Amino acid sequence: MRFILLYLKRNIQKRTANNIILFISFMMSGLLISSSLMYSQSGARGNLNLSQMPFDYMLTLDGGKADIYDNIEKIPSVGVDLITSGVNLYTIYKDVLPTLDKTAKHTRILMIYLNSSCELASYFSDMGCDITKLSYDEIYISKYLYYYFADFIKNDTIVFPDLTDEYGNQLKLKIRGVYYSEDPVNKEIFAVSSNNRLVNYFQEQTNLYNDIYFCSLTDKSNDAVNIGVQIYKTVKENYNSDFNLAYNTKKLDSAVIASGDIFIVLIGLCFSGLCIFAAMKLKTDSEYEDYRKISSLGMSPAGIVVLYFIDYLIVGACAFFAAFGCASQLFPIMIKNRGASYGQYTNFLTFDYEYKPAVLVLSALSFFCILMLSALFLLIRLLGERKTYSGFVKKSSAAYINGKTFIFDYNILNIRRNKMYTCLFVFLVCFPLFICGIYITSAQGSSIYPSGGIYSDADYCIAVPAESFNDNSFAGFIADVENINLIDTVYRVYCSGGTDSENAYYTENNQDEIMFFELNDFARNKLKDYLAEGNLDDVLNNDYFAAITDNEYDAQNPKYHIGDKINVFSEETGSIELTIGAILRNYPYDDNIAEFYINGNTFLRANSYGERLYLYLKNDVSDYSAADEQLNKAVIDPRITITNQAGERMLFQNNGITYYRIAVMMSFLICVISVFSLFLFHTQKLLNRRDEFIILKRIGYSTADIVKLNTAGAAIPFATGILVFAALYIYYIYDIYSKIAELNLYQYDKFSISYIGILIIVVTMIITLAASVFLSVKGIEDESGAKQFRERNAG
Amino acid sequence: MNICAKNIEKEYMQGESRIIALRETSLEIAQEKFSVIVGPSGSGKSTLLRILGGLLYPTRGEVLYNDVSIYKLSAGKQALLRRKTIGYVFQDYGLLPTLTALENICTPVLMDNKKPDMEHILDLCDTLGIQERVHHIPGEMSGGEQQRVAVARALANNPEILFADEPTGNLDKKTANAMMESILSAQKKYKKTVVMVTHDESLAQKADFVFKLDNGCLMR
Repeated sequence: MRFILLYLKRNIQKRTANNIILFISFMMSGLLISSSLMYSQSGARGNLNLSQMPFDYMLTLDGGKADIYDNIEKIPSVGVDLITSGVNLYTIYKDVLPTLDKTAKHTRILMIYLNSSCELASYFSDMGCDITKLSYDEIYISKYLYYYFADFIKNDTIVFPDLTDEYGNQLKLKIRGVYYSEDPVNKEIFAVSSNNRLVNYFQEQTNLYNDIYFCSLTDKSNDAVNIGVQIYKTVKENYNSDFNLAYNTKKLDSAVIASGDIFIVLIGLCFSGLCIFAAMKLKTDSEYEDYRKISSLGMSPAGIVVLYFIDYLIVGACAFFAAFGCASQLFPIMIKNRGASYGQYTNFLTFDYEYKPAVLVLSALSFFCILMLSALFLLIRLLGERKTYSGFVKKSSAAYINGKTFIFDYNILNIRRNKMYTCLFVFLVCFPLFICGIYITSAQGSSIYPSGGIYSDADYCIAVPAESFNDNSFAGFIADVENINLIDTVYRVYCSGGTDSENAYYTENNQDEIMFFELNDFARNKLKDYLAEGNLDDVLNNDYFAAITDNEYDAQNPKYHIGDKINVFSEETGSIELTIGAILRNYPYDDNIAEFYINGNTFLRANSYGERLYLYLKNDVSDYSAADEQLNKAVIDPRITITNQAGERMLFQNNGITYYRIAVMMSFLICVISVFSLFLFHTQKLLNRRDEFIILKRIGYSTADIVKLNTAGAAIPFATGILVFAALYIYYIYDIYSKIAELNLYQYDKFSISYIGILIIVVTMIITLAASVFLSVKGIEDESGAKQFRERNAG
Repeated sequence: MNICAKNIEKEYMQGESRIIALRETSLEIAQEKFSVIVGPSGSGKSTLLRILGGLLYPTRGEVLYNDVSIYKLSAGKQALLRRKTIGYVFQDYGLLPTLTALENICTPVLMDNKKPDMEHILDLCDTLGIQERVHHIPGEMSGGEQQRVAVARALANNPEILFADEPTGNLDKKTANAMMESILSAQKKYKKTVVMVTHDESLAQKADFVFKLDNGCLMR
């Protein structure tokens, strides 16, 4: 042990470069492993979504369709259990309630019973509905139910028309609390009661078809995809109308997400393994002679194994804990952006990572398993008999040197004798580029429409719809909700009257959709900041002049020009001619409807009223979850839409990359590790060939010639790697992605490619390969190099 | 320690061709004497020395130390034998580059988990003329100095036998002579069995016994 400690101490002191490279490799690998596992273990936080209930699969079905049990139960490995029952209040009160959102596919207002000990109760408890606090005549209701039953609510008590309690009195229930969930469109609206008798009483007083059953479907075979598809098919084949049945395939959705996570973890482990192995191989090779000497001096094989493992374990432990510490600090910041990738499902769901000891244990296990396996593999080689000479050069090679194609022939010979290494080289060039290529080729969605005009810098837009062209029913609403100004996170509120996108005008000449905005005081001042061309005086003083931002990307080549006459047509107003007085700078958002800013006094207010409220936040827009929550609570009318412009702007301004920011971070780590592994492997390979280069020098090759030889040697597999990448990339992007775009799956309709990422990786690879070549020839000028070779081969 | 080699043969495979390095060689090493193995390059001298020293398994035959076949011992016992009974001096010195001369010399003692006998170590260094260089690493020393450090290391654990593989091969004549004097004086002073390989016939004249090898055959 005395010797082991002395040797390790001196090794760390004298072979600093070796240990630094080892430490960096281990640290990066540890970071990748920890990040990958944290990525897979990160979960959804923030507002809970009613469609994400804690069951593998879930069906809610109306009483009349209860025979779904029979069909679902026929599917092998599916367990069907009744979670709870309830009643659909909508069918009872549809004639007296305000009109529900026209786009809602399922019109259900559910009153359900929850036992405080059931799994669903704890789920509602997370949303603030503590069932244990409910007395028999109390209920929790969603804010949307609160809105629809507003006429029946007095003193926080709902008085149900036409229903009586068991004593014949009008039924009254106290509202214990109001909770909110996300977008109510296509979702059930809940009231929750702990009074089973109450729900039964509802059912007794109404007919069978109002009964609702919640069924949990358990995947007993743990085959999420297969079971999910079978449930989907069974439901589709047996029920043509989805009015009476809703199903939720949470486990299938989770499996799809998890498969992506597993892929990331596997890639992380794979590349960490490569990097760890490359660094250890470089170190072991450089210290190989030491082990031979130590063995000759009488250290037992067991002693050598101990020395060998302790050496790596010391550096490994230091590097791993440093890496895990970094990952723990960095990952929670990185993961916040993951929520954006699910933006199409929810506006408010954000992902977060909380420290989990299990991730530390898993990361440490994975890291040290890879380290031990690599060490073991190298140890077998170390303890085995070493070939005395590993180069390719024979004395007869001198004849080659005078040949014109020596460099090419020699490198081809080298590749043929190192097939495995050449394949690894090609892979290490190709794979990081491909990973990078996937993520920089960003899909741009067409489903979100942030404002593109003078309000594009607002953080939120609260839009009031006009039900019809002349609908003024919401007139004045904005004034009512201006108390939003009191929300902590909001510091400015601006209103704008105008048309809404659902009732856009059409220009007569080219059928373009356009939207109108009134010029209030705020807008009049804003126009100056956005003026690209034209005269604002005409626009500000003449009702038939308009300032426009159109949907062309480039303000220098607008679709509309100063002086253009636009005939705006609608059935209500007939044809109106507007003159373009000013062109406003626009942001390059896709699919924006052209925005016209006009004096609304004589034209706009008379015809349409789609008010908008623009909010500007006090804080950093990336921290918008508090504002989301407050706005959601403040605006309870489900017909009023809240658009998080800050979030959507972030998506657009990053060319969609925000969707993948977390993946970009992960792929960046993978790319760095790949390039580093390439450097380590290639350096080690060339260093092992130094004897060969010394011979080449002895038989008439200059150092410059050896540099050329090595450069060509690296260039051949490098070029092959680039070609393989190009082929894969073209296939993947222009074939698969294009098909996705054509089908408009996930509403992606356009792909943009940023070549700078690929260029950076290629240049980095070239630099690292050049460094490898430099290191391989550095020192072969020295007498000591030739001397060592002579000494080594003299025996 | 009585050392006896019986019918030693060693073959190597180089590509597809078989190289016979040693052919049926038997010899006995005299105790506390200075024996030399001489022969031209490629005659199998170093191979024979490595086999005698327990560093290289013979293809056939056996090496007996006090009638015990060392290649039938476990790897651990072989290592123990190398550490306690044998000292080696390699042609390329075999010093650990990260350790100082003194640390290199102490290596076999430290491997035994013992505290080095510094009096003995410094006496060795004095005998070999390297007392001024003990705190330098091998890269800071000349070839002759490194070789003397290697000799000191070989004797540090007070082994019974010293094997030296062309210890003067990389040295100029003057340094080689000094090196030989060092080994001879150490051998006499500490009464060691010394087996040395060299192709220098003049050095062989100073030995008590000479074994001549040619093309893998022993020509006594």
